Amino acid sequence: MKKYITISILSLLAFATIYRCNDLDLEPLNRLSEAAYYKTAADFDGAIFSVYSSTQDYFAPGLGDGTSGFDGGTRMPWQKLVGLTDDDMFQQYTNDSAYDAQILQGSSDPEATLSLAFRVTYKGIYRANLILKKIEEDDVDLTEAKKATYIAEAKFLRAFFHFQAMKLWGNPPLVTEVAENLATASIPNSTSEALYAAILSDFEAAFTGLPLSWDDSNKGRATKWAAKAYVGKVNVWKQDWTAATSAFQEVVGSGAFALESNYDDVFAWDNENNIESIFEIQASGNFDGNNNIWVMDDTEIAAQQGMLRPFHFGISNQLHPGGNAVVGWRGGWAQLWAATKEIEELFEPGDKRFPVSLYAEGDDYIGMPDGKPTEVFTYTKDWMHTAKGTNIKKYMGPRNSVTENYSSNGGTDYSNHRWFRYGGMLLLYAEALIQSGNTSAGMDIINNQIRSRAGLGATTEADPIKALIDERRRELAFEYHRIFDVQRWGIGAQVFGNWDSRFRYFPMPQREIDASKGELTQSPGW
Amino acid sequence: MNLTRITHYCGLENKSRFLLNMKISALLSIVMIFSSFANSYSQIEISIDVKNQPIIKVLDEIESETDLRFIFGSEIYDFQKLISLSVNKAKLNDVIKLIFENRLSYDLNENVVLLKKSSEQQAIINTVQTKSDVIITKTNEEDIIQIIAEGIVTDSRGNPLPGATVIEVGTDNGTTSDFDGKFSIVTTNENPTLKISFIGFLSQEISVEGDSEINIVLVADVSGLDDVVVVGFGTQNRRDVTSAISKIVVDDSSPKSTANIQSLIYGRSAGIQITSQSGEPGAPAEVRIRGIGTTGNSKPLWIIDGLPINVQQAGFSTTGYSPLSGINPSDIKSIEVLKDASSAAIYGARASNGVIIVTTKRGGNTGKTEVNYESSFGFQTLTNYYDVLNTSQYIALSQELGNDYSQFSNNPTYDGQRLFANDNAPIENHNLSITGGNENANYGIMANYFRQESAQNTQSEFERFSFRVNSDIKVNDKLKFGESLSLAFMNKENLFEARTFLNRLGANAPFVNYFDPNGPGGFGVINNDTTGGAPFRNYFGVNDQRNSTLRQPFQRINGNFYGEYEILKGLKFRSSVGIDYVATQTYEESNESGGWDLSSYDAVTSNFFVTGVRVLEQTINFNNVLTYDTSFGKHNLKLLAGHEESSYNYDFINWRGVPLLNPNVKIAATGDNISANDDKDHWAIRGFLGRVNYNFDQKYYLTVNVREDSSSRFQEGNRSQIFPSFSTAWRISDESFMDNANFIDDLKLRASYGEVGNQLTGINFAYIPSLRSTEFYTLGTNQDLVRAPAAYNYANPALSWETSVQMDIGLDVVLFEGAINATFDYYQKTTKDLLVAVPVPGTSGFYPNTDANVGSVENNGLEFSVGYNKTVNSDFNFSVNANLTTVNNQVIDLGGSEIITGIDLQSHRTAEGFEIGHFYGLQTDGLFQTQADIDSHATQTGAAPGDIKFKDLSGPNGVPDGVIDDLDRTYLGSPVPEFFYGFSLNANYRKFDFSIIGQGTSGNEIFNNARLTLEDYTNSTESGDNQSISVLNRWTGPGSSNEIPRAIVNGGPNANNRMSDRWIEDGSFLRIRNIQLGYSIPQDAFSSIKANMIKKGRVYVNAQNMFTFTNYSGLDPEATRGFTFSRGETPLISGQDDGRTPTPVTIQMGIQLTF
Repeated sequence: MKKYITISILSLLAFATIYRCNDLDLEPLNRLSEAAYYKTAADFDGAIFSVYSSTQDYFAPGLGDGTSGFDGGTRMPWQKLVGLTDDDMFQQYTNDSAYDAQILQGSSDPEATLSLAFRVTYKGIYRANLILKKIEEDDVDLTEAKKATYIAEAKFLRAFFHFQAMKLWGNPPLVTEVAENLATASIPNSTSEALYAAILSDFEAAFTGLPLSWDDSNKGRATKWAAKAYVGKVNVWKQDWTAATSAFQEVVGSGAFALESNYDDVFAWDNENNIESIFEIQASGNFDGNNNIWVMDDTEIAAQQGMLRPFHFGISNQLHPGGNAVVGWRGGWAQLWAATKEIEELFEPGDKRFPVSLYAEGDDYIGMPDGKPTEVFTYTKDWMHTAKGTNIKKYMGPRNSVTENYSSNGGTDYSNHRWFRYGGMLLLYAEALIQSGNTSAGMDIINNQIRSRAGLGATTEADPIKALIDERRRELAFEYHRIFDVQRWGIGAQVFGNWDSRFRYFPMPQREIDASKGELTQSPGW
Repeated sequence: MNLTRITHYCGLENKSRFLLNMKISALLSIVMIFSSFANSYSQIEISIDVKNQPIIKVLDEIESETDLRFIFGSEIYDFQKLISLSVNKAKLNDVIKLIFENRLSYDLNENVVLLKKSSEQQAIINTVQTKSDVIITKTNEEDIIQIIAEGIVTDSRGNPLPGATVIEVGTDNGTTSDFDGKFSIVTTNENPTLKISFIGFLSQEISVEGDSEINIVLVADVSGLDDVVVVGFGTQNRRDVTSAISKIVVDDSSPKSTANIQSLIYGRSAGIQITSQSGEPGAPAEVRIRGIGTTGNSKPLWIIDGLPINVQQAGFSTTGYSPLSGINPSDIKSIEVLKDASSAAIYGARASNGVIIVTTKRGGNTGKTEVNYESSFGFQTLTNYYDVLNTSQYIALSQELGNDYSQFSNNPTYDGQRLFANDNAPIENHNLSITGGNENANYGIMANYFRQESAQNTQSEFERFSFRVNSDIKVNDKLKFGESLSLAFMNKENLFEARTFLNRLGANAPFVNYFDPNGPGGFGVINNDTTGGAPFRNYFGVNDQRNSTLRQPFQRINGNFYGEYEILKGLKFRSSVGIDYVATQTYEESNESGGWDLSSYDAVTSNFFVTGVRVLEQTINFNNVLTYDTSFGKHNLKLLAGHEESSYNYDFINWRGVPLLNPNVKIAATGDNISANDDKDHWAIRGFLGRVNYNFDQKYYLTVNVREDSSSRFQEGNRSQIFPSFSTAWRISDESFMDNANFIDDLKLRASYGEVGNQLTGINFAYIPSLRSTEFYTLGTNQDLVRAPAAYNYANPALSWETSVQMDIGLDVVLFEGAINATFDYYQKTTKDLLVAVPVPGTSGFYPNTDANVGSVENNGLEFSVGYNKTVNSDFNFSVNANLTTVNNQVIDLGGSEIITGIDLQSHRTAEGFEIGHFYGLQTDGLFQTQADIDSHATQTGAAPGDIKFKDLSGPNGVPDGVIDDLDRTYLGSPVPEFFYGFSLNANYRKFDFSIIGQGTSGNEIFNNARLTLEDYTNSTESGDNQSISVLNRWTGPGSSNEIPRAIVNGGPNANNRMSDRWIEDGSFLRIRNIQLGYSIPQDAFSSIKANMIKKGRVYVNAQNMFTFTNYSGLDPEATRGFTFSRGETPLISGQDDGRTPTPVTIQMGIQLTF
């Protein structure tokens, strides 16, 4: 009896022990284990593209981050934070262009927008840091030359994202290493000195290690002279006019970039990565978010390559009295983003940039009755619900209104965003020259390069600073630079009236302050 | 002669005295022939011929000629009784039955035959199979026959009860009723008293006078003390249960003609709450046991015939269906709900949300085959629609909002809701079951066809074919095999995007006609001429099946095979292997028309396409259990040790072909553009389990469960966890101080404590740093797509189990001979180390929240259930049952964070000190009537007279700051009810039976998002811009309204539509789930049918969801399950009404026949 019981228990245990067809040491089947990647050049290409991919997320049509409301998450943090808050762009139905109110109105959930901008930025930094960490491992199969290029590229992008963070928040965290665990993932605010030092050092390293240009299939990646242009730009923010001037001088002297002779060509969908482009956010219609089978789940928007401009800038059918779908999102997005009266009125007569940037009465407006830009309407401001301004045309004019540039649902377009272009750099160069006392050289750039391309004569504005401010606003309208300029120039009170010193920087997302357990502090005054 | 005192014989009941069996000789001639199956004594063939010999001598004779040895207690039978017996090559089994007139049973161990009183029903209901070569002569002259009592045993509806025990009181004399409920007993007294008993019924004593046939009507025993309750890896008597288990018996009053098994549970058990997603056929439902214990997966573990099944919804469409719809409700015998940790802990790591055990029907052992056929047919109708503006009201409102549609003012009003509705939508159900078997083998074969159309439109339907075969085969007295196998084939056809369909139809511009004989496909053209620019979607045209279809076929195959070997008496080894296989498909296909471009009269599009999704899910379960049951003195002990493992595999493929060569061949490969995508996943879990059930004299009980589980979902060091539980019970009613309380039949106090786990992390392998390859960048002159593999989720190596610690104190009471029974429970369930997706600092580089073990949630409450039954007379009896459950749900700790989320708005919050997923937003305070009102109020940006006034409740410092902003958001109510309840009434009057089942909740709120769509003055082509008639009472000037704001597009700058208490309503309701009236057809009605082929028959009518009592203004207070496209079902956003199809009223008629 005892024997039976003993035998049966032993056999049960033996059976259970031997029966191990259920291995518990399983690996994911649909994801690549980090340990198995980061070995070859192909791996590091993919890894570096993932850093670039974060730049697209500033314009993402939605990120399924699980915290924002709609399934698709919050959209387009960059347009909302940097675009809607300025005095060039506004959202229909909002009557207050005050800076803080704009933050609220630009998004149904400003916290989510801020938070998304923060996370997109640091996602890019993390990915760059991960490359810098992994590339030093022993089993990496790369030539020293390749390795040096990847390091330079990763540093370029790390500096790029840190600089964006600095523009938004002043003294955000400086992250140069991959967090090993949740406890060390919170990084406190840095100082502007440390940030400038780190950013400039990364850009200088990038300048040393990056190639002059890339082959056709890699066009769009960061180049040597782009890094130097950023050295100049960062120094403008730092107000180190000497360093800025010398960096810009080198860039100009290199001949790596030039102005397109025709302003319209700069933004043409079929003229991407052109001679004027220093750094572009790439987008392509090869990946139609609406029809793409890889994006069956809307949360995986990281695969989305579109810019979603028509979704917000396009005129939806309700706003067109008696009209069917005119342009843009056929679903009837009723929160049109449009140009303010002030920017419209800032342009001087004959400025060739106006018909590229803004719609005027009588312009051709290409409608998209079936998601395809086929129908030509005559633009009228009556389509606006208020008489406050006009519609934005940059990237949205007839030249870009072609089927190949639009997703099939009409909500997304595919023109690369010209994030940093030579025209903008020249104005920074002019600014550095004027600020360092070389006013005539600065005004020469404004008059003979920027204004002359716009078909205008020399400016009549006597104050070079005022001339610079206005020219920069006209040249770069709706390109998401204006609010940063207003902030760094300290002209908020003149521009908006009800300015407050805290508006110098954006508020830190509360979520980040909470998640950091107090390591991170709120921007001053917020 | 041999005298062997076998004292260590396990399970021996009578140790008092053993008879020495003497050999006798002469007077009889004996021939013994050993069968060729010498190794099995049960196969020995015995030939014997004796006349007027005492039984004991007959037994001795058998012993002398065979190796068999008989052991028995002398008091169990009159072994001196003289018998005559003549058999030839009879089996031992038959010989024993003949000698003891079927009143003793025996156990055979090797060559030892232990004779014992029949303790199990099955031992005495088998009749002797008379073979042609067995001659029985039985002439006991001294045994004078006095009375032959004959009768029939039926239930209260006149259905015969086969196998009922009939015993002559005061004697050992007894018999059982046959298949037709008939019995015949030769009594030994002149005026005998017969006691008739049957499991599940109250025993009855009846004295026999005269020789007329006795009709005995047994009344169901509602005390249930002798009920067998299925527990994890075994069964228990209700009497011996020490934990909180509800048993739901599926009977005639259960609404079985439904797509979903959940319908059997509604209102029937305390502690379990069901919320449906919609009234669409086969729509999923949310089942929760004792509140919501976690912010993650809150589904209970479902076990079907011992096999854990997968109940996650694989489809990623909101038109999805319940995975449980693959189980035919008619196959089910009972459902046990294991509510506390003590009962559930044997399932360890997957049991923290409770366990539901479903047991399907199996064959009996009466030797007869029973064929049951049930068929029902019915109709469903929607009773509620949204009241929306008619054409003139709509045009007037639009005018005010700046849109002029006056050119259509002569158009009639078209209400899409009613036009689309499928009134009297058919529902039908047909079941055939064949059950039967004998003591060696039994079988149950079941087939089902079910079809249900949607009441909301004619294009959605659900259909199921299912087959089931259950059998048990006894190879010999020790070895047994069995299986349960079910094949179910379902198909669901849907409208595209049916999520908020009704509400969208209601919101369409009312002056636009959906139909036009001259339009494409006969549908109304939608362009400026017909709509004037008003948003309108012609759902009829878009969803017409000539355009396209959306089909979701799905197949569920689950089978469980077991073998059981009794090593020694009481010691059993059981091994079981089961597979649950679910194949889910979604096909979107364009048909011949390929879609009309409804914008003009001659426009046709023909972009033929096919999209397919196929998900294969396979769960393999393997378990081995050793059990040992024993009793010594008054000590009863059950031991269990075992091992169980499960592995899960997921395989997904998705393809698309467009444009197709020809729409009649719906094959992606015929398309110009073909794309495909796939995905895979897997996990495995292994557990070791043990249980001790001990009781002393069925008075003091102790149960201990331990399970150790290891899961692949966690890293090595965090992989294993031990889940212990304890429970005790004390039968107070058996104590001597209760002797005087005669009215108390049973009083049992229970207490349990235990821990159970939850391994379902939000994503699998959340601890392994890994890269997704579905991230891209664009590069180069050609703007080519390049892959950019990157990690998406922060890998948390510390991730481990969620543990739920549960305490339960309960009392079971049975009073007045079973007339009243009641159960009370207090439960407290604290889930700790919650698997929550917590925010990670953005500086880590990740933005999706990462799975971590954070915080705790507590649920506590009371459960009551009470039943009363009464037999008024032999014609009339009834029973009433009611239950009520209170739930206090509170997040105790969430690591200091809060989760604010929602589907369309940020409407729900989960934060410390409140219910999971409560409603969160601003509080309204009427409307601003004048500018002076606005000026005197806290700063509210954008406000104008007629706009909603929000309350200034807080500010940056936690005190009102004179500004209305997000800081003023507050708790607005909760989808968790204060209590929920159910009740049922069953009555029988002569051949009629009647039942009602009702169910309700109280104290829960609903976020009426459907009303938001209809009161928001917003337009879109998705939802139109028609409004509820409530806006007719809108603010038009000071004093005109204090509730409905002024007409301003999109809610205006004041954002009148933002999340506030304006959209929160009381969601309490009481619903009469099922009303049924049945009539059992009298036996004579079938007498004309050949050879009494039909044994019994019943017809019934039933009405489901006939009455709903609620103050809720939406269409259905119940269709509020929290579900989003990307996140599936989540408790964080429940209680939101998106205007899904309400539950229809269903009227059905049915017939049941037994052959």
